[in-house]
Amino acid sequence: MLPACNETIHNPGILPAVPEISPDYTEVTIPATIAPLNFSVPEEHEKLHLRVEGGRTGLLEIQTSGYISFPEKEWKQLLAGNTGDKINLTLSVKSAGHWKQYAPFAIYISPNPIDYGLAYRLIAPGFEVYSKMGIYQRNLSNFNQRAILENTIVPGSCMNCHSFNQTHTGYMSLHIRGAHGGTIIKTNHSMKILDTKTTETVAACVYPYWHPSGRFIAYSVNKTQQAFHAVKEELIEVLDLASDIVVYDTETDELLSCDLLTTQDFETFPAFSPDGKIFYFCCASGQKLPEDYQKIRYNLCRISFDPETKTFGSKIDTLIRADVQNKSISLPKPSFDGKYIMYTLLDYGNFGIWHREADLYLLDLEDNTTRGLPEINSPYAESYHNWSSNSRWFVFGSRRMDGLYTRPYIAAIDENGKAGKPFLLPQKNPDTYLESFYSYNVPEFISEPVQLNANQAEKIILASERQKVSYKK
Amino acid sequence: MAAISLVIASPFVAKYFLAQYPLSRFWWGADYVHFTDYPPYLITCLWGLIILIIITIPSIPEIKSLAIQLSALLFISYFLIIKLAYPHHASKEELMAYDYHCRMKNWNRIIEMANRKAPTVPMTVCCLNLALYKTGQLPEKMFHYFQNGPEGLLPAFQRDFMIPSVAGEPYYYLGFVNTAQRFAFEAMESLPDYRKSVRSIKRLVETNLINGHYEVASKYLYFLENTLFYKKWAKETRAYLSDETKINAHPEWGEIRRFRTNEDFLFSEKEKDMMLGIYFQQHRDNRMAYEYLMAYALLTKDIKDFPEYFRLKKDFSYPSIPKSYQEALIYIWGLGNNSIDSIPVPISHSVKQEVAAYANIYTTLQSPEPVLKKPFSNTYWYYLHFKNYNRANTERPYQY
Repeated sequence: MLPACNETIHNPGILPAVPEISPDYTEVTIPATIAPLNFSVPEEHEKLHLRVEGGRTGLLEIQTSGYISFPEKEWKQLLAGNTGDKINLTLSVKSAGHWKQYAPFAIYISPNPIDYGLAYRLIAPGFEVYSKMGIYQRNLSNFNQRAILENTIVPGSCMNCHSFNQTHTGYMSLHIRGAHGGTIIKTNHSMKILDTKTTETVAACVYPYWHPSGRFIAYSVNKTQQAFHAVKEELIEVLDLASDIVVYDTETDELLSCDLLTTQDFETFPAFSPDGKIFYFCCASGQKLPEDYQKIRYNLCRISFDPETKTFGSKIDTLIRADVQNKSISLPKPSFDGKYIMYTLLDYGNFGIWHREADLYLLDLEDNTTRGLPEINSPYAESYHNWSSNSRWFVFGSRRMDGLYTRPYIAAIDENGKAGKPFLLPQKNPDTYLESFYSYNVPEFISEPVQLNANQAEKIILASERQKVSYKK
Repeated sequence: MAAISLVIASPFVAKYFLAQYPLSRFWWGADYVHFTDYPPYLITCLWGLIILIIITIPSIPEIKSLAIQLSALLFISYFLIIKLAYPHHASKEELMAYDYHCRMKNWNRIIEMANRKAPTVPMTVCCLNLALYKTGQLPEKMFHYFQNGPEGLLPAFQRDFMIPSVAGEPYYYLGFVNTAQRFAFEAMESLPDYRKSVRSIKRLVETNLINGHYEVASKYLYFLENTLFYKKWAKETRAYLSDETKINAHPEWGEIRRFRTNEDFLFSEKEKDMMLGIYFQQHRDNRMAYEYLMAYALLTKDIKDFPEYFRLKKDFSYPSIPKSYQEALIYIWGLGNNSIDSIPVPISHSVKQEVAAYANIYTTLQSPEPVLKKPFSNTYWYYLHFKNYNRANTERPYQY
């Protein structure tokens, strides 16, 4: 499709290299329902001409003096017609009155579907103060982003750690911090706000993970402190001075735990297996803090959990001893098909987003092998990640664009655990990320839109009552 | 009627269908009020009064002339709006003046202001101390002005949109680039109307340029290039991106870059002397780190470490030992029951005379402070004995 008034290209200069485009969508693997991958071309140009040819069917041509913006209807038809195949893109650039044509590049269209959308927190990558921020949802098949809850609704508040039951938004946990702090628990039938600090726990509930039944949520309780580096390579360190793990029962408002999960060691980042019978977590030996913060190294562990009797296993298994490699593991996330655990590996500590060396790794639970994901990782931090409902996609936050602002990348992963080249969440205007003050924090796939009434949430946040929880060991 | 309905309905429509703000904010206009915690009730009252005046003036029989009516209306409106709604806050204007001159590097103007009226709050004292350093007068004259402890030298971080902007200035010049960056960012994030600050962004460009984080600096420059007043600066600064030679040759950025630490540590509000010491040990020509270390020791009354720090002075030339150092040294010397004249460093005759007079009053009177105040309030001894200060308590847990 090319309007008749567009310029015809005759004998362009042929370049052997693929073009530099922003975001870099060359050779990425995408789902067939993704919104158009609009992109810009950083080099000076008078005009751009893009020819997109389907591997099986379809042809699309665009000519513009701005950025490449695909017509949504034609884009969807092209992807639908080439699912399981690829589209080839050939870009020509006119500058100083002459056209030059770059080598074509491909975009691969996976046969595996992807979920409805993403939920993430938009927050400036600051230190202790937060301006406007909130939890948002984005439809992956178009560019619609909608606020779930913004902190402007209760001035001075902060919100974090949104979590759903796998990708199902009927079950949601969200912390509100500040003068009106509390934990919002939303299930299919109700919404309530909790005060999760008890006299027996070191702090209020922090990092959540839903049990697949929807009845329980595993939380770590963390006494956290921020510290600030002096050298140019580092900025922030987030330390846990103490941490344990509890399981919250949404029906009885009890926090359940056991001696094995409340030791002097630091237990954090719990994550249930897809069958709900065990949960994984990170555990580090206690150190003198903050002095010895670089000696805090977390291993990957697991313990069994019986949802019927609400009891924990009698022993902890260590799956990966990262400390012996002078490394540390954080954010273990089991794939929902039960085959893998993806985690972040960093030099020390557990807050990978402020560690440039933080990379994603994959543990194969069938043969117990673990490997880095060089096809995914970058010289900058890769951190928070999560799986799609069919475990054929994962989303992760990466600072690869500029080293500071976290952006959401999505990658395909096949049945053998091989990941495709990730693609940046597309935006209608590809310069959106350049123009934004926000990091995309804690990206999670969602199977359907989040139904949360912000005004109802405002009422329960502002109410003086908080549901108290009890502690049982 | 339709217009009134629209006015009444609009905030509710906005609240329930458009944006997530408290309802009250829509009544004032969601983006109209800068200080959102303080709804401008007074303005509403004033407009009510104006309406009242409009209604009542025609009924006053004596005033027939329209011109007089309008003049009266204008006069009363002006008086009510300007004098009541926006009253003169001398202390706030003083803060803003110090802040402005510090930002614009008008060091002599700051000292002129202080000579007219000495600053007393940490933020303004911080500006003065920086101005004294920048004009080469800090060790000589710091106790000629009111000092409120280390908070007036290197203020602790506060969740505020103004204080961190100023508090970040000495850190910036000292070479604490990460701290200057943190304070600038946090000042911007503290703006109550959720907007961004071009002043903070400019500082973020500088800190990222100095630290060699060019992609981030470029991002911030992009914002400034789209402003009216910072566009020129931003376009000129873009030429520095990735140009190490050019940055190193810059009179300000080059020096700050050179003064950065290459030894990592975690910033500690309680151990600023330790941090200043590290900076100075790494760059013995960082005169500011040295003078701030000395000033910090004096202000925290750390007379134990002061002589040791003083010995580091050999790296710098002073025409004579600065007055505050002399006063501290002779006091410390005297603590050992040593004769003033036997002190092994050159202390001026006037300081010796003064300390003798001070000691005489201090040791003989039961309540010497009122007597010492007038003649000796510009000495270190007076500060040491009679000025209390509070250390900021800023170590607090962070919530995730």
